[in-house]
Amino acid sequence: MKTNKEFSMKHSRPLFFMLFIFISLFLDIAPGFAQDTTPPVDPNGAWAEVVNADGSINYANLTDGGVVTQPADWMPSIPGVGPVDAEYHVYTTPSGNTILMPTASTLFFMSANPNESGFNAAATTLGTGGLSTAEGNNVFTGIAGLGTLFASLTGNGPDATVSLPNGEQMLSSTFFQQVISGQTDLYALGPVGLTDLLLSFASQSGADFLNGDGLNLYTYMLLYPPGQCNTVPGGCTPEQLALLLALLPPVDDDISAPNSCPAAFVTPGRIIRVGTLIEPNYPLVVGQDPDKRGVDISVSVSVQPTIRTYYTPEPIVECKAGANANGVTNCTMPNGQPGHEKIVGWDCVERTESYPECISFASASLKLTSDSKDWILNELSIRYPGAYLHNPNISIGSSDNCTWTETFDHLQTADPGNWDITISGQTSGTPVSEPRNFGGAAGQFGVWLKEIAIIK
Amino acid sequence: MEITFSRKSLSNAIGFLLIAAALFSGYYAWSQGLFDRWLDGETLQAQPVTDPVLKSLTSFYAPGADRVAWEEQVCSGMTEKGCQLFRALYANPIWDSAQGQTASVAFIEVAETLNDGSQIWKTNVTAGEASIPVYIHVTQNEEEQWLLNRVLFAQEAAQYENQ
Repeated sequence: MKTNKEFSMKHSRPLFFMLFIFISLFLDIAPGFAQDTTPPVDPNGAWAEVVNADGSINYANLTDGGVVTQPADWMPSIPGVGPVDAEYHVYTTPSGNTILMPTASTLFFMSANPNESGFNAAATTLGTGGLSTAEGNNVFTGIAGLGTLFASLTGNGPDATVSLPNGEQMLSSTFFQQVISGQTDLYALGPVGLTDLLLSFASQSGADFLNGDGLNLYTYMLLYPPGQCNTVPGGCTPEQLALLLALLPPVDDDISAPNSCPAAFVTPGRIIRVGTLIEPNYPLVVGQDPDKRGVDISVSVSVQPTIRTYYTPEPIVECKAGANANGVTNCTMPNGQPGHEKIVGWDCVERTESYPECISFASASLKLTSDSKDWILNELSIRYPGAYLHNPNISIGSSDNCTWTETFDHLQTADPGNWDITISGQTSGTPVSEPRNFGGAAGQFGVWLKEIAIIK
Repeated sequence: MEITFSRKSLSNAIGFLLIAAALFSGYYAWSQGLFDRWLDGETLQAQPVTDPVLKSLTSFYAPGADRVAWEEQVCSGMTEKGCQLFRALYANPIWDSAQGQTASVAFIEVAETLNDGSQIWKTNVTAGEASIPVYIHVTQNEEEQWLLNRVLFAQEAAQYENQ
């Protein structure tokens, strides 16, 4: 890990952080970010340590941890070298909260890998302004606003579009929102699109990627309570560790929670691929068919939800007679006498979470089987000298929708034999599972050859 | 003895020779399968001129002692955009992890031609003791010279590996 000093946006602070007045009035915890923290974080109170009443950042109240760069396996990986470093500016508040400001590119890959990067571990997040944004209010709060934020980083306003490799134009904000929600993969942009996007981040963010030698533009802050400081780049400060010790709950004579419940496991959803011949029942090679009928093929692919199974320790509580050690009575005994709740044991309760998964991209093709190729080139060529393979691989279409069902008519199959309907592609992955590649035959059909025998 | 040819018989003989040559050429093309290739729209593709790209890629995986000189060397076979992104995103981790390493690169094949005419090349990079497939995005400049745009990330290369 390397650290070096760098200050963000100091020259434009007054204008830039005026927006924090507005933001601090409407702070909300990003959906899905609520954490079981010790102690619980009051987002208004927490951000009040960071933002002054006039909207500027209260640097005097913050301890500057400097710029932290570290390898992160959720960042893009250079073959043979390893992942690109993630980069953040880190501050600590007096109450022990850690404020993390990722660079634009780091934020992008963090949000595309929210669990692995610790993005979801933040107790609360706060977007900052300073950019021309699609929504016009220069404010992004929570994960829902990130799609708009990234669209604005490309610098083309609310109507900015991205070009996908298949030529489709999509609103930047829509595309990035789909990336963040796991519906698609950022690599769906293709090599050209991703190059342009990364260059946009680099140019919009000044010294982004450049180890903080110049001016970095930070657009988003993540707040981690002291209990999670060990998950934050840079780790816990001595002050945070001291604070954690002070915050430990008083010793109780309750039975402590079990050291471990069974480990969580993930069951990936089944990838369902079906390729079917629709018509005709007995297709003829198009070379012998004056109507050139060909074949009608239906393809369909979808992904069943991924299931995460996990176990949580749940206390078994009974009402015991009298007050507890603190003199509190909080339940009633069967005989009507006051009592206090006491943990008498623990259960490991199984729970499941379901994560829908999409296809990032899929493509279908028809492939003459290798047996049929051999048959044409060896057996058939004895009867028909010069017989050859006309077009044994036919690409029939592709999709980047979440699920794909489509029929392709009159595909011109010029070679006789058995044809595999292959469907290949990649799933989007889920917050608990990586994208998966799929491929291979999803169905088969035969194409027939009319043969004439002359008998003397 | 004098042998005389009439003008008509001479032109007949030349015509016969031309027809025979045409028939022979046609038979030769058929026997070599050239008609099939033309009908399938397939043309014989020459291997692209890879020189500046591969030199750049070799330097990419073999940072020398002088960082500035190394970056210049890598950028000499790159597009302007590619060079910017290399300096901004790639240079640091490579410099930190591979300094002093030697590398050699071999062109394997054109993995894909994209809609804009740029291409994805599959190469084989031997760096240190390891030999790995590396996919690169290349584009042509106005002089139709291929230049390195970017080394694809492992996450992007996966789709070509699985083809």
